[in-house]
Amino acid sequence: MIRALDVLVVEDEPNTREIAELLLADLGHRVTACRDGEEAVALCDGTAGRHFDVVLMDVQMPGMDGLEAIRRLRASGSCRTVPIVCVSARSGGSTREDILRAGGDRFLTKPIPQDVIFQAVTDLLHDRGLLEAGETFA
Amino acid sequence: MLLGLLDQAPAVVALTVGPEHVFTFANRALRDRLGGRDPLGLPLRQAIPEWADVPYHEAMDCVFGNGEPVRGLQVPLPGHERGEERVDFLHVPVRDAEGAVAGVASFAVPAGSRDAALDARETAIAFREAALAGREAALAAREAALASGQAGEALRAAIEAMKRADAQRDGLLEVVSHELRTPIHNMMGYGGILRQSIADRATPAERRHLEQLMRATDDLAGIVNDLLDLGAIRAGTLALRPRLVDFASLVDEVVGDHAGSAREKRLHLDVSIAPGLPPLVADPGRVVQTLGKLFDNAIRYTPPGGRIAVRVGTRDDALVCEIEDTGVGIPTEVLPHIFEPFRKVDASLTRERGGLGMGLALSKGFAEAHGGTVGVTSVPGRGSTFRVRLPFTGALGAEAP
Repeated sequence: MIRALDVLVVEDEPNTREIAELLLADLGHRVTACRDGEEAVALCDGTAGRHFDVVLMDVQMPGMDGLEAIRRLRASGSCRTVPIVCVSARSGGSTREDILRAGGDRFLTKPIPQDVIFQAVTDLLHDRGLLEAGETFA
Repeated sequence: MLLGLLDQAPAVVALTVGPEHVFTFANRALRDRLGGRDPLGLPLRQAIPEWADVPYHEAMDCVFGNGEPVRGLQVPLPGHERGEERVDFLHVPVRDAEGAVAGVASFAVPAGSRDAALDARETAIAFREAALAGREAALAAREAALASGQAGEALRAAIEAMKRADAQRDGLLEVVSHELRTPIHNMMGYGGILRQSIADRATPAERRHLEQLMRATDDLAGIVNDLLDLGAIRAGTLALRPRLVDFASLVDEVVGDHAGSAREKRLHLDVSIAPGLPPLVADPGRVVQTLGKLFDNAIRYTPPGGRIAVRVGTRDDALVCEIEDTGVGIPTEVLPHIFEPFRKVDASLTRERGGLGMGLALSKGFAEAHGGTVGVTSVPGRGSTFRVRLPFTGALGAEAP
């Protein structure tokens, strides 16, 4: 059974962002989408930061990229311990190791079917005890 | 000026670079002998395949490998128009500024034609003396060909240009592959959305068209991922995520993935796995890819009704998996090159059977990243056997960089 969650999508590419928003909303999740790391950090900033259950993050973005955004989210605010799944379009630049060391939880590379991403989120949330047995993300 | 002289010489004069002997200079006498073909820029075995049966190719390999000159007397050389002719040849190593062997300079004259070569004194005499006096003369020949600095410069420039072209090609592949990732990802995404939104009201034909579209997208994603993997293998940056795996279950997975296409061609699949295989330290995804590419090949090149046998066992500290087919086999002269990317048995097969020729290069690269090997034996017309050897703990310490 799908458990409706608060999901933050951080993605600069408008089509990829729309796909994530449509599919996640269709699954019943409450989706907030933003375009870069700076917006994401602002949403989660300080004690008044918004609550999210999981973050789906692009890695290469203009302005503040995913790597820097993860560092800031882990340093303070409302997303210090929230699971973060990264989906990267490049194997160059920030590597899997960079992302995991900065505090990201999963690193996937595009192109990848959405159901594979969602399965990874389900597994991660189970690992962290954030979903009950029988509950899924998608 | 020197190159101009050499071009007019009646003796065959050629300069090649690298272990594949890529021609950077071929004079008119050589081009005439090849019926007007210009081998410039081509590797020897591709440029002059008809000389494979005489010890010409091997002699070039020896010179490049050992750095010693090699000469041949009365060697029968299949000519293009003049038919077979006997020549005396001399191959001399050419060294770069650091003294490493960079290429080979070759000279050949009709055997015993010492008097007939009078009208081309300089080259012919240099060659004749070189041929007679061995190593000492080889030095002279090298001088003659190169010490002016001009040819040496040309050679170095050619090597540099080749390196640049290689780097440019790799860079282009890398950029193109990366730029394709996001659009392909979005095609998958919108396809998935469409699949859900039209599920109830699409006609069977519409549903089939969408599925074809999504399958084509998956194929495209596979090609892009292969290109990126190939780039990573060439750059030595392939990332492995090793863990303890049960090889037999990976074989089952690969066989299951290919059962449909094997059935379509009425191919018999025999799988035999030795009992009690120890677990293997490996990246399961890469192992599945390694075997999958070999399976793709076996199915592609085996005629309908044929047989594919998979045997898994152990030898020393390694797991050995053989994939034997009753396919078209691989011609002997192509065999040493089949693990090079983008190379296929022949161009007409490419059109007939599809594929880019990346599969075997990837299989080998994945196996080597695990400290293993992929080897092949083949009898043309009878079939081929590919042998994957993976040390049980070879992937330890091969973590992602």
